[in-house]
Amino acid sequence: MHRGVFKRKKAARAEASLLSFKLGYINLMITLVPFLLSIAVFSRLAVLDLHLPKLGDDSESVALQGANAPAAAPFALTVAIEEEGVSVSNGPDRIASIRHQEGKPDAAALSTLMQKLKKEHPDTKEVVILSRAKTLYADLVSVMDACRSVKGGGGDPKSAQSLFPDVSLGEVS
Amino acid sequence: MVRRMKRRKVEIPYLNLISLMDMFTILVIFLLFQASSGEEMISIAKDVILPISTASQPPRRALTVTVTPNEILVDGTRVAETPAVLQEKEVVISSLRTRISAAGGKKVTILGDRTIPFALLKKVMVTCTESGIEQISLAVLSRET
Repeated sequence: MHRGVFKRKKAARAEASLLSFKLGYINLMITLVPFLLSIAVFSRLAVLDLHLPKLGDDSESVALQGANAPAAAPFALTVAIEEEGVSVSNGPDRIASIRHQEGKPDAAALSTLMQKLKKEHPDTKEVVILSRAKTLYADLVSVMDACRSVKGGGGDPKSAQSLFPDVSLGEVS
Repeated sequence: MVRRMKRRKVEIPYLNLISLMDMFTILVIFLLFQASSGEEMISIAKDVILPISTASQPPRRALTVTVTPNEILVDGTRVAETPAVLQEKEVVISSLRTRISAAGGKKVTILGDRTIPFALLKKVMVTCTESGIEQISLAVLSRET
């Protein structure tokens, strides 16, 4: 009888110490989890590289003018973001124009056209994207995305097929 | 007999914390891995909302030029006011040019808000190339798919 009480007391003490350990552990976790959550990054940062023409005598080295885009390349793809649509042309020859959807460039249609053009000109990598002064940066980036690559182009839905990755920027003249 | 059973019930408050501890441990390990894998080199100003893109190229260490609707910052220090720059006829932003030239380097990452007009972006880019920058990258948020 006496022994039994002693045993139970000991067990209770052990249980109490275990409980306090657990509580301490949980307290630590409760502080750690919000801290780590706060520093966690859920949207990854990436960069788009711009293809800069070599510094020459052209004073506006970034801005290529629409009509005199590289003359050496046989196929000079130019995408101009205009007020009511995106017009795609090869140098001075217009290929197509895609109307904006709700004021934004129609990225899906542009992507389809770019895939078709890539099939016709598999060696071309450059594209010149011309924007107006008022074009929003977000719209420009969406057009750049449509020109640069397409998701699931080669049958594999996960891999991105590169279309015209060397993007130069310019202003509509 | 009845009394004894009652006492027993009171004596053992049973709360199973093991599963809670397990859950927290897994959560902490997951978050630790995530925090250590994404080495964030670029600090983004609070009022910049980057455009979303399909690009997946990781950012590299470079001078950062942040363009918000209110101001232009180079590595976190303010160099120009955006409205003033927009009104200016001159394409090259002189204060930005001085700052970039002073910093040296050949590469620049532009963190632009998604609402800035192309005219502003062009001014910033022209200023960069005029200051001897050879590689301009545009920072975007990578769309996870």
